[in-house]
Amino acid sequence: MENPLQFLESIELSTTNLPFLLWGIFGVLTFFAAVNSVIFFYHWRRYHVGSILLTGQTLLMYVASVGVLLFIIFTALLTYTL
Amino acid sequence: MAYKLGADEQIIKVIKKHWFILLRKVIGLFFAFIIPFVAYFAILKINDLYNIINFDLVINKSLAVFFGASWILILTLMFFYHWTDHHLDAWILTNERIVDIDQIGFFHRQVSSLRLERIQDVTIITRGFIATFLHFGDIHVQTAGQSREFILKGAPRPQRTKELILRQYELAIEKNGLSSIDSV
Repeated sequence: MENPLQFLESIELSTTNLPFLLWGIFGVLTFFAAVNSVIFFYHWRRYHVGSILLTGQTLLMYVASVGVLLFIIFTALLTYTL
Repeated sequence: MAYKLGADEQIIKVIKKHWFILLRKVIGLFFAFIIPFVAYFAILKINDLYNIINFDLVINKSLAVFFGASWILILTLMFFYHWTDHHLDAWILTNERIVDIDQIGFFHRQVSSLRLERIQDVTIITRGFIATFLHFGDIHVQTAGQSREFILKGAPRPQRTKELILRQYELAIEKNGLSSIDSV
């Protein structure tokens, strides 16, 4: 059983480690998105995902949404850590 | 479509699944999408009413944006996965055969083809109110011999597609000088 001082120390320690954890999460997400993008682009190029009218827009929609979200996550992380 | 046709082969129709099949898969993602917004505003509202905590001190806004955007990014990637999967599943009806393209995962693609002369029976199944109302259903094509059954789940306007398949079947039989199902 922790005493109150140990408890406060453990909170302080977890708060100190939080930015590292968040950057780690960001790294995993970016890696996951990059792998997903390559796979999506491969399928889009080879099989033209979407209906005839949407072939160009599908890729644009994908790149725009994933790019914007990664940018928001990165900005939020910078604001939090700096 | 990255699919090679024979010398005299012509594509009659490319049949893809009904849009409702995709909607059914992604509707859960939509509800998951609104969860962070609902939770955020619910916490704000409850805090305004009861003044439980100093919100700015406890919940860091940048952190909330970080987790909210991460959540939405994961859902977006899942949406595009379903979108790709939906659009890569197709049946190609040509004047010679039916090609069944089944995208099982991103790197698992199964392509089978069935010559029209080998068709024994075409059955359509429309289950439930929504399928009846939105005109979609399953098409089962039974082949001769011990071959497997071809199934396209959630095909739009199955009756029309069935008629089209049977019409092409009749034409293929005539072309090859064989006897049709009805004359047996």
